[in-house]
Amino acid sequence: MQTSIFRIETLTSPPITIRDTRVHVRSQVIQLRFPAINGGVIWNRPVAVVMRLGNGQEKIVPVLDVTRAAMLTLAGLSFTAMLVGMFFRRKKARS
Amino acid sequence: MDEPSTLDPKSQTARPLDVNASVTTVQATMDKFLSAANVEGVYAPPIREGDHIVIPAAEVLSIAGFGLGVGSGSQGTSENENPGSGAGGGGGGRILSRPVAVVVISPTGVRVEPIIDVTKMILAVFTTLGFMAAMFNRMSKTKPPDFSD
Repeated sequence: MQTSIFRIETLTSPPITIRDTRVHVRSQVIQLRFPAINGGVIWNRPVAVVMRLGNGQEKIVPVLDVTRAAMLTLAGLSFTAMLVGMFFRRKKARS
Repeated sequence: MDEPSTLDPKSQTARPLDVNASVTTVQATMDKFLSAANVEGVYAPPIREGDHIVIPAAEVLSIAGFGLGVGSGSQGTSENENPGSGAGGGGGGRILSRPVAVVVISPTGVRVEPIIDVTKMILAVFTTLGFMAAMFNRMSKTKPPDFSD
């Protein structure tokens, strides 16, 4: 199987039918392959649920990763605090 | 005890190394690893309960690596022809999985219930506070840069 070194792909599952609604789940794959050492990294995460109603209407419900969002918020907070601290320190030194 | 010792290099018959078979095995394992990157790896099989369907969803991170090496050599003397050769290989990998959400499909609609890892978040909060405290402590103890010139 020939695979590219870097690949980002959105995959959709076969439909799950409940009454007249068809539901698909989607995931996103980020794949990195190292041909020289026969290795690789695969990051696969859920992204959305797609509902196709009987009248043809489509509705997409995103799958939110609350834990990751909180972690990123904390990382951003600490980085901002570091920048603010450095700014006030320089301001104090200039004055 | 006239039987030749198995440790005697002369008594050993050189077995041909099937490198292609090893490479094929590694390639097949790699292909198997790569085939895990499908939608079934993230979403569990649907659980039906009456009119409701529940689908657990998780984030999957797979890391794998394999390697192999082959070498051979000969002493080249006429008395002791000892062509040595060897091959070795190894591999390793890890799969990290973390639940993210649960998809609940009901006749009234679809809703996604997030799964919050409270322990991880508390640890992250303490780590962030510790980092900020250490940084401000260091800033207060060190001399600020001189801009007088």
